[in-house]
Amino acid sequence: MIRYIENLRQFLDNVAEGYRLFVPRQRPEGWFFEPYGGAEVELEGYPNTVASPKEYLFPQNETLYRYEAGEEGLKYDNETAEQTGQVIFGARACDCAALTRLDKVFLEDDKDPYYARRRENTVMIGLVCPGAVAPSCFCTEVGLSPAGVAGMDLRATEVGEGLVIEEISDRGAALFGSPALKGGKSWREASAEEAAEAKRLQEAAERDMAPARDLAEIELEFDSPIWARESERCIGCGICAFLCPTCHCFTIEHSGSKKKGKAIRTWDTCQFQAYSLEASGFNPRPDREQRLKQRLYHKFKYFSDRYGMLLCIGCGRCVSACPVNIDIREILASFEREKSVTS
Amino acid sequence: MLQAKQAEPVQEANPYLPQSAKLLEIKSEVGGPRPIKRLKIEKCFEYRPGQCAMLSLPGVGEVMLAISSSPTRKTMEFGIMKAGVATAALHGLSAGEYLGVRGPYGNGFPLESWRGKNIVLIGGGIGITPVWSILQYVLDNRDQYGRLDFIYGARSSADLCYHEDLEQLQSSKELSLHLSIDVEEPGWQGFTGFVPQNLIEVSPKAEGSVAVTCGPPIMIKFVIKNLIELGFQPAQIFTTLERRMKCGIGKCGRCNIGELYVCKDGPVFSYETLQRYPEATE
Amino acid sequence: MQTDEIKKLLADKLSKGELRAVIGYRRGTNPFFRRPLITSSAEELGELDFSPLGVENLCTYITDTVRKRRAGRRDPEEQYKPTAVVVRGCHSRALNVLLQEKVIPREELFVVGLPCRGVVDPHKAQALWHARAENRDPRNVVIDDEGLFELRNGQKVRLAEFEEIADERHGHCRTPNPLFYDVLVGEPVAEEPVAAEQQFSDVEEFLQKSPQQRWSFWSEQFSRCIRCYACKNICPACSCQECSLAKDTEQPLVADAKVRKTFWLGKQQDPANNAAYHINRALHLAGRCVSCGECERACPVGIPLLLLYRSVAKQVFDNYDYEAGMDAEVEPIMTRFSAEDSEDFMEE
Repeated sequence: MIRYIENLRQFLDNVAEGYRLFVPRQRPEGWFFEPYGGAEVELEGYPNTVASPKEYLFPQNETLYRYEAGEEGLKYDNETAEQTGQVIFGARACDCAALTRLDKVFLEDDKDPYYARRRENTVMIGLVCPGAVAPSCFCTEVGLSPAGVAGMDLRATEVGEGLVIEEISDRGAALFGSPALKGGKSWREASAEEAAEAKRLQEAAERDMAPARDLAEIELEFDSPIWARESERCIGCGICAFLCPTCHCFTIEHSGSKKKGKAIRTWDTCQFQAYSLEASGFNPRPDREQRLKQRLYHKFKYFSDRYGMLLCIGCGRCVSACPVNIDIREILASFEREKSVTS
Repeated sequence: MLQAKQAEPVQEANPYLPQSAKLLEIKSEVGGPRPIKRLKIEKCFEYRPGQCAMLSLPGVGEVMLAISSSPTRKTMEFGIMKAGVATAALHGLSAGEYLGVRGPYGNGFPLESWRGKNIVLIGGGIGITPVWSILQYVLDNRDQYGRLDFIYGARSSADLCYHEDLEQLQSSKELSLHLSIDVEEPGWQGFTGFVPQNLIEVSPKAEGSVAVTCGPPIMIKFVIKNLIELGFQPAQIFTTLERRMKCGIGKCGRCNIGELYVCKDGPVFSYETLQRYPEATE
Repeated sequence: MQTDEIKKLLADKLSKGELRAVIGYRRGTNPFFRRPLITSSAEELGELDFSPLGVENLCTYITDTVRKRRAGRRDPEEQYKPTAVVVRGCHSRALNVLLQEKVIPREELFVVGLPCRGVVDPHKAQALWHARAENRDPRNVVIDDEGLFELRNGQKVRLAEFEEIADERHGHCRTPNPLFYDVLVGEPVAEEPVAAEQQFSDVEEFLQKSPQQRWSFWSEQFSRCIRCYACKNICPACSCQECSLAKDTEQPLVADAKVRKTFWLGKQQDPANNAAYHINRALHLAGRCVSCGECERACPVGIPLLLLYRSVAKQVFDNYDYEAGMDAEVEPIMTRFSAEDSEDFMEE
């Protein structure tokens, strides 16, 4: 069924009765996802959030297990993963598509139970973009769409004063079967005109972002001087990786004593120098040049070699947030130019 | 769709969760500034030679180590050089204490496809640990393999690992042992010189053979060069790589070489594979 | 000297091998600020830009060079030639701090002084662009001394005056002109900088709040911190080879595992560790931070770091009559002790 929500506030109130709900809110520092809290959600001028919603599936810190030393050895207890249902309202298509990449990493082979449990219990309500919403959007250049549905459970399009809601997955459809929403108080079936308007807006958004190139086609060159040149100004912080919706690198550290403690997983990034530093002192990527190369290669080659899809989803956060303006789109364009010069 | 409710413990298999294992024996093999100790722990799971285990030291952290023993043996053995905090903690353990183990990880050596072939093992220093598992496995399944040559060296005789076992193997007819030390030492009977040079001396036949080499990167570089000169094809040459590891299951991202994860697609790689990855040989 | 002459001078010096590299600003792909240009190629110097969009404190690359040098990863022949660096007033104070702390000798710097009439605040400019532009295509952004404009059909349409997009730090800047230089771009700024006693008017109101209110404020701010360390990495004063607050991210000089792994802070991003990181760094910067504001600009989640560091700077000023980086000859304040030092904090 295609539904229409006239009163977003009422709809979100209903959702919040049964689930933890996170919505985008504008702060002086930018837009962030926050717990709903009951206040009106204003979507006017909403671009994308500063930090991606990946933290709801893959939190920056999480306790994996606890251990305790006893007479008969060590006891290891699973830490419980969040079981309560959560709804993320207003995630953009790129960020939802990012979840299909994280699914590959965490759910295939040796399923990660922490991510898996959260993923099962999360409903992503994506919000169609009117076109490029942020200055550095380039989702269509990586084969995605501002109206795309990958990784989404429900797709919302702003039509008239309300939203047209389309079911994308079973999980999304099931949301409307929940006690709080079953009664249809905060939604109704969409009219044919409303559904058609949604489709028109989706297509217009895609046209607005018609891609100039296909970044999957670009061939990176391992020994190019571009790497040294571009990495020279890199300050080696974690902004690009931590804001990126698909970066999934992490570290596991122990916190506690020999007798009792826990293992905690936190985000890490290949951009930190000590990321792959070995105890012997050997570091396979000691220079920023190699680390920048690793980042680009991982996003545009290694991941697709392994899983058949690009890891970069074109949200452009790394481009906007880099304090020294390292721009991966520009780096890729340099390789494109090099190739056309030599071929 | 689950409503808000009491959280339950995660039921399904948790690949990050270690199990408790007792340390049965710990012995000093090599002293000095980079000491090596040999640890035997109770066997927790089945594995293949060349696979690794993540040893977990409570309050300290984890470290991925090659399982040095063959699965045909009763206990799991590790040869560990003290390098960082986790290995230092391992060195500080006493027999009877417990540690965490999880595994097995990695691809292991393709021993099934090596049946009938001659096995040439070339190790240097701590590099004995992964090839030792092959040595034990082949000795325990002797009739399934051809010649077994073990070319092994260290800086000095004091730096040779597993020296008690090596002494016993000197007289064995099941294999040919070719030991070396880098520098002259009074009383040394074997070859004096670097391992790659000893390899040339031994001059193993390339046809119908596979070579496995582990040790310092510089040694591996010259061993492979010499193996090629001796007629070995890249597909006949195997080595193990190491990288810093945290998850061990190809998720945390850090041990990658290209799109390969050393923890999952390795640590065993043929030279043929490695030639395709500039990062591996950098 | 005019900008063209400066570019020519630097190009000459580079070609003659008198300089290791030139660090300045150039146009990038972000229309709201310029990007650092670090080059040893004379051809690239044509790109040098001296507009108010050049905001980065380029001295951080001097610090960077020294750290790499200490780690042994620079060509030994090149590493002692001078590096040319473009500095605004506050940046020249940062250089003074580096000179005071003997991080780099004066002979290894060729200072291109850039008198500053105020820089653009990229966040403000971007917010106004987002709010007022008709078509948000970033290629239509024009920013100059006159303000923020949108290019519509080839015409410049003003969206904001320069004052609206200017960084408000200019209002309490103590050094619009670089304190020292080898060559100066254009003419010095004539206006009088703010008096020393008035320079902290921006933090005074905040500091009047009660300790509980301030703690509550900072706790909320720190809760957003994602420990990306951009604030630390972009700061030129942070020259420690092994930062005690971020040991897990950097390769130490010392291979000893025990030293390497003695962590002061946990990697976890939680209230205790986040607060410890920020408070410790603020204290480490006492008497060293020159208020260039890069930390705050770089912070992806908008923590008002300058307020924190200037709160400390005000205390240093109030107690010791000292401002960071004003004089390279003076010993850094936190490394000396005088019997006359204020003891007001000690109660009877």
